[in-house]
Amino acid sequence: MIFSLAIYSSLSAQSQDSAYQFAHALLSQGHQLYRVFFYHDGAYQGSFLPCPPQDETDYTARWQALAKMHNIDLVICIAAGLRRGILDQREAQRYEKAQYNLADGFTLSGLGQLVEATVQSDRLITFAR
Amino acid sequence: MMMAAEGNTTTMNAPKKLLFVLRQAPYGSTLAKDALDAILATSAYEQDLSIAFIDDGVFQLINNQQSELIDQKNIARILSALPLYDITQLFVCAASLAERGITLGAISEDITVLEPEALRTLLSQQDHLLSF
Repeated sequence: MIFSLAIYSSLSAQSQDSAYQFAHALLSQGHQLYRVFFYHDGAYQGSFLPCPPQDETDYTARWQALAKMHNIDLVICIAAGLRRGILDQREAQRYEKAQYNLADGFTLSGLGQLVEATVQSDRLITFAR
Repeated sequence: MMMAAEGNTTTMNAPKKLLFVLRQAPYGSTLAKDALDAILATSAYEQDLSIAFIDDGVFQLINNQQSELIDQKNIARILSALPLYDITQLFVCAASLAERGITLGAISEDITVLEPEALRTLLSQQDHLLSF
């Protein structure tokens, strides 16, 4: 079965961990993960700047590793990202910011990516709060 | 399949039945506004789109919202613009309205009130639910 995930929750919410665990479980059972779309506060997961203590989970790194292993499309909603200061090099130039912080393996794109993922998938699972 | 940018249309198969389930009060977080942004974006993709207001989502429908007093965009005003995007299938949960003491007189939207059983039927008829 083809799944896509929509994640709205920030790093502090349990549901963002549930989303990762769900992604891991579906992949390990042989299902396909078409796209993970980070919207609303989910956009924070696309920054490479957070520095959690060594004995705690680095959520962004964990998504990066999963995406690399399974070739998963990790998309941050560009509007949600811009509002929250999640920028890639191109957006940093566009908005004349000296820095950018989008983690490798993530891309910024539009809400159309959520629609398209929904239509292309058998199941869209939302992790909201 | 990748799309270049927001707003582009793409070759998709037959329209799917997509129901946006809105459960958020209008101003407690920006999620209510973000849901409407997602709905308006989706309207460009020629899907069979409808909206259900459930739980605290029914508060979005109340007219005379004075969101300018808290420097927020007016959710009710955005809702009133939905017909311009050909979004006309709006549903509201009768039980959620009753629990909150909201009468239809407080709602200016052209909306279909559904009892819980009819709402369950609506949910079961969809290809996908987009929950907010």
